[in-house]
Amino acid sequence: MDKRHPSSFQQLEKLGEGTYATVFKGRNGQTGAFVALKEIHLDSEEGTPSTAIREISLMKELKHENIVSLYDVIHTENKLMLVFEYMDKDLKKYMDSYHNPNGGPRGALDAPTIKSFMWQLMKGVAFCHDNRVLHRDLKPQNLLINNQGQLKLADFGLARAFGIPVNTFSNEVVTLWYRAPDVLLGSRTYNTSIDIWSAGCIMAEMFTGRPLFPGTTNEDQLLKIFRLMGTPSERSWPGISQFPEYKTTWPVYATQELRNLLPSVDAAGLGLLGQMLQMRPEMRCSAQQALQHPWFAEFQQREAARAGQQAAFR
Amino acid sequence: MPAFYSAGPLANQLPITPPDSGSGYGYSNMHYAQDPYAQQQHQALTQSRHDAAYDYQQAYVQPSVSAAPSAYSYQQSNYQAANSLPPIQSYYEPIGAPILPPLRISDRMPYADDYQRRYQQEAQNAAVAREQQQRQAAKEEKATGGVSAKLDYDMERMTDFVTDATMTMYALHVSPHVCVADVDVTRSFHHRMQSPPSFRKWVLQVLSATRLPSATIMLSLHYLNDRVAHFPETVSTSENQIYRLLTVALILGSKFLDDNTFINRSWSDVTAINVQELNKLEVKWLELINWQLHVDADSPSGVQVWLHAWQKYQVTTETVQQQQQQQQTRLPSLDTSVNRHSAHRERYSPYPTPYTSATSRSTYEAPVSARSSQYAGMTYATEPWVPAEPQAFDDFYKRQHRYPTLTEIDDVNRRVSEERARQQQSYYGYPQSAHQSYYQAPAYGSAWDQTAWKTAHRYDCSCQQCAYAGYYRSHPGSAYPAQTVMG
Repeated sequence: MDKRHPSSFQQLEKLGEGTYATVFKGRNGQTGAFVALKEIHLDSEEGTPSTAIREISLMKELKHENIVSLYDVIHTENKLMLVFEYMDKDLKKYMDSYHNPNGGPRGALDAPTIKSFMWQLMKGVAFCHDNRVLHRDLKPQNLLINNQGQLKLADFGLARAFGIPVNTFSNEVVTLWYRAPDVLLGSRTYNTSIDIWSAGCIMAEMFTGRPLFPGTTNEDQLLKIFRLMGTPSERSWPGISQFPEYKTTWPVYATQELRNLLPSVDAAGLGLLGQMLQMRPEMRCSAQQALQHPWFAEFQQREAARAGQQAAFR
Repeated sequence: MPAFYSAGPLANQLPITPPDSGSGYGYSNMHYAQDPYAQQQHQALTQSRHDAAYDYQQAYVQPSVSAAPSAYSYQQSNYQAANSLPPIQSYYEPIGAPILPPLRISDRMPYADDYQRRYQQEAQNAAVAREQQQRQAAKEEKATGGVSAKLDYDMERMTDFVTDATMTMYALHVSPHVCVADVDVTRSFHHRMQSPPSFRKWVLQVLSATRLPSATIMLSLHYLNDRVAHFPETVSTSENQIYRLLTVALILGSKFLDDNTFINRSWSDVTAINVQELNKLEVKWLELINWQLHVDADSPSGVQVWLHAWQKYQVTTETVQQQQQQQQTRLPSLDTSVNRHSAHRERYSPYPTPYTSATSRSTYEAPVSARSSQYAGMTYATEPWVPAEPQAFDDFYKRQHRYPTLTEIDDVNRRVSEERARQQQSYYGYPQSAHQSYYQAPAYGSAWDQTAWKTAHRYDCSCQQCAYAGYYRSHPGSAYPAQTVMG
């Protein structure tokens, strides 16, 4: 049987539905292995959706252990089927179903798991950025977890290559709660730092079990951020008054200590989180810098040891 | 740093393109039957080009070649006529095409509508376009659609660039001796393969309607070059193909790189290519390249080549434009047209030559906006001087071989050479004397400048014959003082 025919996969239950695609669990008829099947309806007026074009072209390039693998693209008359590596659940569901053995708030994960997930998340993000790809939609629903505790980035429909200088970045990117303040302020010249802000929000969420900034509107989102980080001014953020969404009517909030909000996090973890959740994009750390942070010391050592082993084998 | 690297806050206030809204500027009546239409328009254009070529020859070439006193008054009057023609811009309309969002589908005309109605429709479109252009001029870039509200380039210049690049790729592709993969297209297309005005017009229409950012266009040209270079067997040599390929390249570039993209229906509306066909071509292309649209932005042989070529092109054309303006105030137009002829010999060559030589020559070429579009029709007057090339790069140009047969030309040619060889001897002693005015035997006072058509020497050729010709060419005014003396 032709491997590329859709019927070579047995379609099982629906895993999720997005705006432009439906995802099913599937089984490879030959190997019996599970896969995720993303079905994209093809509209005769639209042609191939740009989301599909980006997702496929970018994921074909991004081969990394912390990025979901795209095995195949099957094209039929009226649909496009993407065959992905199967993952058990996304981080959102993982947190919802998680029961911390040491107690703690519902939905919150234990510290070692968080550190492992954050390490893997930053590994994946760093790989994207090194390959000149912005993910632009990092959130717990788009981070997939399998039974081995591996975390992988998924859903590159909003992703974008940034190697070629362009002036049409949209600011309608990233789910509101994870959207960086500069994007909320209307910036269209953002860069990799928008993914770092999202990652910081996710890190805090894993500790508390609740989203850090659950805003309802663009404006509300900004105010929720200001309430924690302090209302920015020309003094704390030179040039902020040039942003399209800048308002002089913002209530003035004082900067809060992250420690008060996240008492369970150790000092090193708070240090890293503070570097990721910087209001000014240029002040945020890069993914590579995050991976060098002392909070990840054990992972760095493990990686160094593995690199040493591989060198010895060679 | 070019302004577009950091988008100002302005860009933000402009609405996102609704690719499928609005009800339009007349594109709704765009016909979808490409071939019959293309054919008809083709003929119409060919016809008008005939005429234009004739005018050109009469008005410009003749006076420049023969400075013989006897013919002077006749030429003078002709020259006057040329001068009194209406301004260039009024010749070729649509200077600005309507801008997306294009129309809805409901009232589209049937495929085989009559030419008359189409013609009226076009006139109407042009009127709308002109009106819109005026409005725009008044309101400096009012955002009415397209990807970029504020363009980071000059539309006419970009149109020239895209037209040249595409036609060069196509010419190289069609040429049996050249493998596009071996050629750096950006270095050869400065020779400005002459393209049919209809193609340029179409490119202008598409670019004006979509207003893609320059980076997207360069990426698309890279895709197109890549396709032609690496999958030549999938590219048919029919002339229609180039419209389709360029369209799909732009679709892919835009869908990959831009945040605001058009549906294929909108592309169909501005390109007049059936949407089903676009869908098929798009999928075919994607599968051919295995969806590899994410190109290495830093690779020296990738999209950077195009970004640099575009930067360079902008600089070059800007200097040329300035030089031209200066020249126009000082020199009679006769002078430049002579030099153009020798340059044209090269234009038709599908073989790339080093980029450096293009700079000097392009001084005479004026790849600029309305001016170049005017010449686009005129340059065909030079066709007779081009020896019939076995691989004239499409049949369109072959049709232009309509002037005296080669034997006729050879005959005149031989006589002129003999005459010249005889006179040349008497020249060496008095290079700047009034004798030059006798040099051109009145009997051959035709438009056929023998140096241009007999020899296939390059413009920058340094052989003795060319040096001589160049020397004598570079003093075109010398005939006039002589005439004054005698008159």
